[in-house]
Amino acid sequence: MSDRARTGSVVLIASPIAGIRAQWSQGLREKFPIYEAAERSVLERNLANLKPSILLLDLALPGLGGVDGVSGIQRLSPLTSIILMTSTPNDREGFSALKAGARGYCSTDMDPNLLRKAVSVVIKGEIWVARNVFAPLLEELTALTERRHKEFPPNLDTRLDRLTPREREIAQLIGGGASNKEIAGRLNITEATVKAHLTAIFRKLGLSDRLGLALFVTEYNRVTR
Amino acid sequence: MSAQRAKKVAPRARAKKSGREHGSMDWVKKRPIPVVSILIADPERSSRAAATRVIQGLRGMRVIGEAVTGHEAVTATARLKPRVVLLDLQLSSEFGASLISVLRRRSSRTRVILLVGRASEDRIVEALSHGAVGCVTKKEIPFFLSKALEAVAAGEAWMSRKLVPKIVDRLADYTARAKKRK
Repeated sequence: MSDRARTGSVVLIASPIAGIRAQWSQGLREKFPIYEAAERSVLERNLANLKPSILLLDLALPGLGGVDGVSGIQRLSPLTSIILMTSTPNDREGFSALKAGARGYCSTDMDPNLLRKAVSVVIKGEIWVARNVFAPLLEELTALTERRHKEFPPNLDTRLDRLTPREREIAQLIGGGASNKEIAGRLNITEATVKAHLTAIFRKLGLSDRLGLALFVTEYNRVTR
Repeated sequence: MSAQRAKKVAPRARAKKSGREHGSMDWVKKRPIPVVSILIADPERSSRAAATRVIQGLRGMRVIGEAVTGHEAVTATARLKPRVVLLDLQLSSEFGASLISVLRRRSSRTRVILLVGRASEDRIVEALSHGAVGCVTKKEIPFFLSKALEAVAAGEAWMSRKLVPKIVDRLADYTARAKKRK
């Protein structure tokens, strides 16, 4: 297994500082073949030649151009997973790093054993970030989803399509808070017929009572309008 | 120091009892620690019981209600305005739009943590995209629910690391589509 990892996953380490490169490779050397780059031109050449599985990328590498530079590096070797390393980690930047395509965001002086774990996890396809980054990540997910739903209202309810036009009419009246008697009067049918329609509506929508139906309808109208 | 203080503030009854002996207990009444109120919305009795057991062992957290259907969850949330709703994932899609966004509109202070029985990662991410800030599988309730509650009460989120790639992919997808339109 370790032999396979050794031949399979090349790790490229890119930092301008020799001490940092040595520190990073310390925990990885036994498990992965390591290559190093101290400047951008070497990094680019190594990326092209080695197609490493993992790139440990120091944010302080000259010519990187900050977190946004990550996407440029990623384009040079799309299959490489980039772990961005910084001496001053913070949640917002970690979040930006993920958006730029990084698969990990770690502190430069991370413990060698933990770094090895991070590298292994990222090789498996997971993402390594501090838990603090989860909250901004989910906020963004919700915000973008809401915006998208506003622009393209999803056809949320195929269930409503199962109703006949009459049933839909009655469902809307229930949503407006009407009683069976009022509905009967409005549509010129008997209350018994209204009840029969309601039973069919509940069954088709998988709901159990009129309050549920009222909520369902108001929600449907709100989203589709 | 801080441990001692936490001990003193704990349950109200104890504070009252010992208040006579220690003159310094007055400030307890003036500055009650905010209790994290929790609504459990899950049709399964066993999940509700498991969650309740965990919460009973937590300082500063209290179950203030239970709901077993989606619309009970909505009405209870609107009425009780809990700080946290533990919501069964199955219930979350009971309405046309996700129940989670309904809950959030009825009570803006409320944060939703999903309790997940068996569901694909896609379904969980879908529910999270409607505004849930946490997710714990039902099997893991005894181990992780307390951590999830503490994280969420502190304004953080709680979920499995394994979901992160799915979420990042989805964000990238949204961004790519937005670009294409421009």
